[in-house]
Amino acid sequence: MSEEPTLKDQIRQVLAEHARLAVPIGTLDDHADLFLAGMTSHASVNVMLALEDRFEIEFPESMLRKSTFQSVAAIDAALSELQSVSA
Amino acid sequence: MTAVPTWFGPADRPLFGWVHVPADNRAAGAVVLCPPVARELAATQVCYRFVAEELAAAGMLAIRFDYDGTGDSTGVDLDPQRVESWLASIRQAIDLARSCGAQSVSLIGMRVGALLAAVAAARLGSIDAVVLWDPCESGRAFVRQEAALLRLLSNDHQGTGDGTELPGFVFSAETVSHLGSLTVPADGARPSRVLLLTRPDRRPATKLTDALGTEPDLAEARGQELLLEVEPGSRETPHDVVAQVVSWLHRGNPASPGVVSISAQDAASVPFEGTRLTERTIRLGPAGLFAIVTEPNTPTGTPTVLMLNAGNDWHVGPNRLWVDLSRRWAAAGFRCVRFDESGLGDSPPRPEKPANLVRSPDAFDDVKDARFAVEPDDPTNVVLVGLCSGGYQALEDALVRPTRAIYAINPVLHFAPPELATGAMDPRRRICWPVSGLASTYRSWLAEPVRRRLRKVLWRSIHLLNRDRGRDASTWFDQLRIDGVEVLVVCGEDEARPFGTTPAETLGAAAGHDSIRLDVIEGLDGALMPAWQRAEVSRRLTDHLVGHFVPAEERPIARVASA
Repeated sequence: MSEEPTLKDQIRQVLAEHARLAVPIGTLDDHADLFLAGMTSHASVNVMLALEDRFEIEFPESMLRKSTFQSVAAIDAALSELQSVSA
Repeated sequence: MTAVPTWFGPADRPLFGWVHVPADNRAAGAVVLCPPVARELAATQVCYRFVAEELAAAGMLAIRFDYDGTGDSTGVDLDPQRVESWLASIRQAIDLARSCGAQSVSLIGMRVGALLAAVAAARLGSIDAVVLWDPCESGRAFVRQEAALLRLLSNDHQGTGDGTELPGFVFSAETVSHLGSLTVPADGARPSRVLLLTRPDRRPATKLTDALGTEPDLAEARGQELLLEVEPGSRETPHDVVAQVVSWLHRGNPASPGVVSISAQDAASVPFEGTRLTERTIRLGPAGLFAIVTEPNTPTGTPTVLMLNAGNDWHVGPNRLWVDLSRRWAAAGFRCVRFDESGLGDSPPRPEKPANLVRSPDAFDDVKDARFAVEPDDPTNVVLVGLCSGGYQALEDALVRPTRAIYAINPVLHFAPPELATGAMDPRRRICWPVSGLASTYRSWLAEPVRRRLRKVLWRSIHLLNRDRGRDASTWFDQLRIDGVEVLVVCGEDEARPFGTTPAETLGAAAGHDSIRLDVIEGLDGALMPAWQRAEVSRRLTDHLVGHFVPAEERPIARVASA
């Protein structure tokens, strides 16, 4: 029986598709700096749009800063906050 | 094939464009290229020129143009009714195509240009084919993407107070609203054929094609990330996709070849803040460099301002800054010339030289040719203005020939000259600090936080090394002072590091002399993306220009005109 993907799994899948990292996302831990791993500002916008699409949320202006998309853990925290607000 | 620049459209508010004509002056229909807007317009300039050239090579007339308030056309971002003006500009470009003798007209649009092309096709009718290239399905999505990008590029966002700030541009609240509600009319005309090009990782914009009512042919818009989402110097035209688009348009073209001709207008009267200025297309020097000159209403004998390319952006300047300053300064009495160096923008490369090569050594000849062309009696009577690579080139040129003034914004001195790939560095480079393989290794081996800690020590070592070589800033700043050049360098902290780690190290003997000024602005972005930075840099340059070259009794008038 397959398990439901966790939030972090889904974030990693979005990053694999849109972040254009210099290394496979699987080689980075949750706190690794994605910008140091090659994600550009343009790619981070694509990640943001893909996350919005997948989770049917919208990042407010206050969250539109590099630190929100700095790592898997940071994205996880931002999404958790948004989902708790909308729940 | 020939490419002819021309003003067209309403005489009181002219638009600018290029008509690409097949070699035998016979064309099977015309294609109007609807560009993207804002940052993406600059990103696609080279690609669009290539598409137009390929269309003409395939026997079609091609028109590329700037919407009202963009590129070289009349107007600014914050004028009212932007979206309807852009749609009117498409109609006027179509009228231009028909006036040339084209029997059928097709449209190509990329990103917001695709949305506008779809709406124009449905509203106007009589459009043969429409190519929707990586279209924005909604204007709202585009504004959101670009506004987010600016915030992620720059952490010191200050807001504009009016409208929405995008990287390098500002859209008014009205423009954002109108763009957000722009849709293809349900009862609009149907183009005969539609080609929808979608990025491999995106969903097709079927809402757009459904509204158009024509079953689209589908293809992949490969390479968009390398065209739109990279630094300006790294953009790549997706040649395979261009070939596919040209082939698709050519294959289904119902028009039979007919004679076409263009009655080009090389000058226009351009309105600007309550006055009218004359702009004219010119060619400079033996290489035929393309330029647009903005003439003051009353010549004042002040030096001619020459504006250089920033990276491989074209002559409109970074975020259209050269167009704005040309018109602002011409209103204050200065003749301004914005031009493309050889192989950049709309200028041809020199024989046997590659196109789109940033920091080419040919730039030395280009700037020399330009100053002799615009001031043949006294080629020293020029003010050179440049950002990034253009700022560097302005400094280099002023060290070779007497110059009235130079304005260098974020000049980059530390780079790898392209000629190093095949040989030695061009001996004319006097202030470049070539990036070595050692520097590349250092960058790839050490993480940014470590490099940040080492930066001060490292730069100090480099300065000591360059002082021995005579390439340090204090040496050539003092040379410029002795030569009588007024120098204003404006840069951020990062760009200031190559100049020196202390004021004494930077200016040396030139310290304390009013003619040499280095303004370091905290947080200044390399390409002046935030609006407040463009306003601040414009103000400093304008104050300097008016303060130094307009007689004191005329300054109040000039300052009003340039405010």
